[in-house]
Amino acid sequence: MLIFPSTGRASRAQMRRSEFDADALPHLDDLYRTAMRLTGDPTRAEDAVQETFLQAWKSFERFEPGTNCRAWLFKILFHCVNHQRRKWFRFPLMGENEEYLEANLASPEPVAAALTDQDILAALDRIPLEFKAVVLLVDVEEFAYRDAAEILGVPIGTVMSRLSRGRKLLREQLAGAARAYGILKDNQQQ
Amino acid sequence: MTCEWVRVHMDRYLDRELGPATEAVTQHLAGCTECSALQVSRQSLRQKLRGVADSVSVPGHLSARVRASLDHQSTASRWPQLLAVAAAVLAVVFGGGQLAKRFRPESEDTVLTRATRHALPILRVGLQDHIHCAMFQKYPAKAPTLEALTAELGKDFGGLVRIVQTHVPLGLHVIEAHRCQFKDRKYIHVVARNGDKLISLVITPRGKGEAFENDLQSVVTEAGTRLFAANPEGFQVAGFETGHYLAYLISNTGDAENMAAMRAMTPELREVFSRVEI
Repeated sequence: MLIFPSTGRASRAQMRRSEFDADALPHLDDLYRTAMRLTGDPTRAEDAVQETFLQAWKSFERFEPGTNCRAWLFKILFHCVNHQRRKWFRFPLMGENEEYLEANLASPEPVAAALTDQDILAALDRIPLEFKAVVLLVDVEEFAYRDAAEILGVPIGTVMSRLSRGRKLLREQLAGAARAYGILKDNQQQ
Repeated sequence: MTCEWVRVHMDRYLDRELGPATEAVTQHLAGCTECSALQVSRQSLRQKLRGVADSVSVPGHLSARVRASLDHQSTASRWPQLLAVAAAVLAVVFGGGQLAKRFRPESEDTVLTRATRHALPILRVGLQDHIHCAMFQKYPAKAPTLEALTAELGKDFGGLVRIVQTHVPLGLHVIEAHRCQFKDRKYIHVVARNGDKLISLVITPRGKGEAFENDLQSVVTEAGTRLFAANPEGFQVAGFETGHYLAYLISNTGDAENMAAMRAMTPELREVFSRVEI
């Protein structure tokens, strides 16, 4: 049963909804994959994605056409995931004191071809969330530093330092797997 | 350009974020076997990572689930309009005066008196401004932009707007930021709201002898700062002091949400204070 009779013409709300569907829904898969890596749980990832689209739709009036819809949705997704995490763990994990140079020097270089998908996923999931988030945004989703900073609501310098630290941690994790296969000896660095 | 420099900046080069030095690194890589091997290694790891992350399958039902929830919300959002019409009809039928009397909200004085009468002195300072400004001030229907609000607070404290917007619980949006005075006390005040959920960051110069620790025990330490919390009369208050300021986060969002937001904001608030307290 229709609550409001059809006028035969699309209402303004219907047009907005069509615009929203066209602009936002194509990013659903990327959002889910990122949510899945952040939460490690399919149900929570689905909830986060659904909440992201609901929040996005509520504030779609404020979205400026022509701006980066994908970055806007990711920003909402991270807000949703952080919000959920506060519920799970009571408080968010925050804090960093890493040094950019320290993170870039003297880390082992694993051989990507020798590693399985499982090795990589397991290594990624062992990295603390604040570092993993930046690696996912820049390395996987290919956001520029500026966009990643906007999405996470942190200064660009923080993105750079977290990225360096996150990549170093990832390389260390993968080097551990490589050593286990005997393709990288202890203390070997490229 | 040294190999060490290239090695340190390799990731930024691959990210295309190196700026003017990009060309020099490209030239270096063309003539340096070691560095170009590192480039290949890092690049292949990224490709592998991207491939693995993209291989996660997305549940087939998710798109339908999201669309259904959007449809539901679109329909549900019409109900407040219908209820408003129904309320207007009832007001006409049964007498607007009776309804207005029954649903008349409490006055500012009533709320202020009740909330601060038994509150600890240190809490009263922040609460009175939250009640006066956040709860009883009339806001424009369309909130100013964050840029406008940032400008409103000026150079030293403009950054508070972004800090609040970044860390308030989901769904709340900054709608107001101003400098104000209430009962001879000056404040800087940032307000975020979502429906009936309201949160205030209240900052005021610290008076002589004023300290949270006089009245409360700290509940947690964040970024080297002791945070205090209390629940006077249904409000959730979290706060800390610096040498010159008292900072409060006051809301009706719930204890955990309010404290989580305050914890998240604290390192950045300390940065703001450290710049103005020099």
